[in-house]
Amino acid sequence: MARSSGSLRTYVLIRLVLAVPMVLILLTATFLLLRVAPGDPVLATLGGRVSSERASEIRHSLGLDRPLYQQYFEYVGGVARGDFGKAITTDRPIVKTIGDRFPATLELTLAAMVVAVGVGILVGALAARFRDTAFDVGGRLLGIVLYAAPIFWLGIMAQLLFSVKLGWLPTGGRTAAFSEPRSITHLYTVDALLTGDGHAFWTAIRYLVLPATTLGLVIGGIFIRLVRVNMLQTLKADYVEAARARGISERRVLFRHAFKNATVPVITIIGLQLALLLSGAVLTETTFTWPGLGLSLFQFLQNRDYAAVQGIVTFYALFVVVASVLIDLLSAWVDPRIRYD
Amino acid sequence: MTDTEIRPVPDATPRRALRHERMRKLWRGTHPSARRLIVVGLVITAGFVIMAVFAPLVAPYDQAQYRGGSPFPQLKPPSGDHWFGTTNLRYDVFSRVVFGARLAFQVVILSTISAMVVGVPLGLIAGYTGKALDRVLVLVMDAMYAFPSLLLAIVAAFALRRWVGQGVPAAAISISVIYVPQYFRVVRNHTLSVREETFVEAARAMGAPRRTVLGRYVLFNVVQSVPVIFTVNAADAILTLASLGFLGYGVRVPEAEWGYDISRAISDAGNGFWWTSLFPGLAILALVTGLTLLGEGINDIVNPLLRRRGLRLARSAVLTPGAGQPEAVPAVVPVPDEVMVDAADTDGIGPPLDHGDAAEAYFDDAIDLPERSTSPLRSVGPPRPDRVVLRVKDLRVTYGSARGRVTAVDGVSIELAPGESLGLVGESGCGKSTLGRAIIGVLPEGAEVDGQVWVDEEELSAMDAREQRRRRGERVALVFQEPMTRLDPLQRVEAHFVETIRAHRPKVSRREAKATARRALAGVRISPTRARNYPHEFSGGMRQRIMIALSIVLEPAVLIADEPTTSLDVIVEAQILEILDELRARLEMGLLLITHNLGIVAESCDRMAVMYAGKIVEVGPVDTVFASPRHPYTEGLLTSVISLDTTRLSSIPGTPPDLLSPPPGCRFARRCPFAMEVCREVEPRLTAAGIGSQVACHLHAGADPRNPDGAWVPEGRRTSLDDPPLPAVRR
Repeated sequence: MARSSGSLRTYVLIRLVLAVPMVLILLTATFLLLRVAPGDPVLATLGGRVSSERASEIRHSLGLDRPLYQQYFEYVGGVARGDFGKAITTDRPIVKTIGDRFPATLELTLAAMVVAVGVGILVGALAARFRDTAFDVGGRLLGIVLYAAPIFWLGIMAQLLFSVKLGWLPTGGRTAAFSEPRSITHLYTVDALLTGDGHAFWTAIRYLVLPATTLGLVIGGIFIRLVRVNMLQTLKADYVEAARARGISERRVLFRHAFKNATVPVITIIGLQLALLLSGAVLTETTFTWPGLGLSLFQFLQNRDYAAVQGIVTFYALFVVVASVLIDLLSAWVDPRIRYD
Repeated sequence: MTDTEIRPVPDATPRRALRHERMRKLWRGTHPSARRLIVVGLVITAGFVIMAVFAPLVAPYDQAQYRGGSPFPQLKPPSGDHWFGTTNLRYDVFSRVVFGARLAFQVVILSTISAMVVGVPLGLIAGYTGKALDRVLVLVMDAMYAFPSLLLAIVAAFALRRWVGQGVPAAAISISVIYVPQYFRVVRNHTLSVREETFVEAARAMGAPRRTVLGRYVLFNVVQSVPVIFTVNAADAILTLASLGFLGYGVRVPEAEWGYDISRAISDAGNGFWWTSLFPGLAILALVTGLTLLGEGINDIVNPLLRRRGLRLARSAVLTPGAGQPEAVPAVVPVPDEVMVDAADTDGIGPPLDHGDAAEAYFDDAIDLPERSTSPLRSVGPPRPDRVVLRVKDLRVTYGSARGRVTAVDGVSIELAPGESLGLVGESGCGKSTLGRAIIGVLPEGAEVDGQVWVDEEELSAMDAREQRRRRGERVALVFQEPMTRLDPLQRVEAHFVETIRAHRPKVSRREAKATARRALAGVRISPTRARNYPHEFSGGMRQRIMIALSIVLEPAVLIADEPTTSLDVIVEAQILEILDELRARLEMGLLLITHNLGIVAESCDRMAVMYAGKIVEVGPVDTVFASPRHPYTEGLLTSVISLDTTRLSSIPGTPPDLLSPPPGCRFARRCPFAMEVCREVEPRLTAAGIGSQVACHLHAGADPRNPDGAWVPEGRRTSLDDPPLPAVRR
């Protein structure tokens, strides 16, 4: 319909314009924390390992000897051009690291989201349906306990059980040596499917299961609670009662009316959980030595590489903002009312 | 928020007592299983607090100490000497878990304090000054809030390491960065909301500096919300601290920190040494679970926002009928012009209602509303008493409440002929809506129904749930009071029709169902071209017409309309009633019109039934009842209506009885100007009084089962309904 798509277009524009100050604030905050705070980044990173001449050389090549405001504009300008700086320790552009490592993070987080949404919707909707029964209490408790579990600990416990004791799955890494599929999307499971490489697919899945389930379960704890609360509300909604009064079958009332309405906020929540998902991915990747951007960040943190940490954090900030815009657009597409808000 | 909560009461003691009383009520109001979870949370949290405070006494060894000079064995599994085993570095795991709790609480408390120190003043400033500063601060805080919290803490810890090194203060500050936005938001919103409150103005007028009043009120509220924010944040802070520790940015070794200890245990786990990672992790899991349970519990008890908000919505819906329409439309703010026109047309100024086609012509007629007395229903002719489409016999509905069972409908019997309309009137709370819902079988959980309901020669009350559902919408349909929220916001209008039709007639194709939907919409004067629109694109009056079309699309024998026009304005009301009349005549449908509006009954009903406190007190043809009411309550109702040809205006003093424990005898006796002794002792039964009329009152013969032939004569100031009614006297 012309009218709806027109207002959707306006909505998209507004949402995009609103994202700009958000990005600027995040960039400024990152800059303030990592550049302006006292202490010299190069010395903090390399310590006494280099001569003072070499240190000032590095400082000059990174532009750290210029006035702060100039550094700030160079930083923001660089980000606008897609330049996230250079790592001090490896002298490699951060963009390259992101290109190499981020697909792995993306694959992990997408798989984890599937687990989280699956578990959350299933347990949450059933808990709401059987409100105040043992199932409901159990479901709620599961939601809380899952959220309370430190991701890395859950990961270690999973490794202990499924890798060390049972020997079913590998402890870490992304795939076995020489089992990488031909690269298309850089997501191993997808590439393996696209190239029809059964062995590569199976191997990639075996490596993916534990990290994705670990991360997914923790996020899923939140979804259980959210879906339950939303579903409780929609089950009491007037239109649900009206549908019952028209003789619509209980199953259809549950799925078509209560459940569908309960999932609209869940889409928005997926957007909000994206931040948590990325944090969780850093921990999961570290636990399972999953070669994603989070593991890179951990390694740069260990090496105290300020420039690299700044670059990666900046990328995460951008990603969160862009993804939240996309999620908002998705929910506007699902719920016609949002377009007019 | 209610008034009592906003107003700061000067005397503290009664307020505290009041609050305790309120807390106790809220506590009792929660579900037992929820209460159990809170207690579990409290016990776990208290256990950890004790462990943290008395760590040196609880732990058998120091967190990083060898016993008596001789080192502990390396990586020894749990035993009597070392309950949780020992680590790679020969530490005692149990002792480190205990000291870890101490460190966790230190960091949690410090980070909360530093988050408040920054967040509260910023919130006060933003809320107080408003304008640009506020907007900038809100943007900054929102951005901080949107950023992955762990990354934020890591960046802070990373920057702080260069600056103040690593340790408890650094960890606490890094974590507090996450919570500053939360305190900021709470304080800012409170400040903003009270800035213009009347009592602040009043206090200022009395000479108190505005800032003092504001500060005191806001702080009072912040102090109230701190327990919830604190417990929720504490749970989060412990997870964040552990994560920082795991990544090597927690506190300095060898201080015991759970997350750091787990990170050291990864390689142990790879070799099958499970105890070094299991126990610190379990400690985190248990403490965070305990704190979350506690936080949610406190939140449920202190802040029953949902319940209150629901109540407020319900109240505003009642208080703003008609004129409040545009506000009631959810999400209309920047409505596209076309939709706006619709809303204005239907609910404000009047027709034309729809765009284009035949529907418009329909509406032009509707502008000149037909004379009320000649409305189509009267032309239908007398109902046919030989057939009955609805027969309700001795229906009783009870609800469970905290204080006992309430009988909302108490032994009601009614009958309805095809094409007949019966108006069911009474004050709010008399059970008339419950009766309507009980007939169709949609009652809230906990309601118990007893009695018989026959629709069109079939006894609904004898059917199982599945058969009952099949009759619902098909043989008997219900139109609800509030049309705004009765359509599923995510479904197109036509989808509602298709769903309803196919639920009862599975053989009808989607296409046919859509065609039927369009015809049904045209029947209620909605352009069929709008069938594919979403509910929010229609005004309240239009939605009610859609609801009506949806109810009658399967041509039920009986239509129950529960206050169908209460939330609509007068012009829309007339349209709706007219449509109902028309459909009733065309489909030969029995209409049970539930209303508190006697004008509607006079206009559009053949017969009327008057309900009081769960019972029917009088039934009869509308003309007869209006001309000569036989029950004092009916008379009271009629005289309380202002009309052009009456000069007196009276209302009935008193209130209906408590249905938890209704008084013996007649339920109206307490408010009745004729009340006699017998009225307080014997319940009057419904007996015939004139042609087609029945009344339950001791003024009429046969009401008293002990005295079936005679009527009682009152000794009061009025002895007959023909006497002028008494002026309203408040007791």
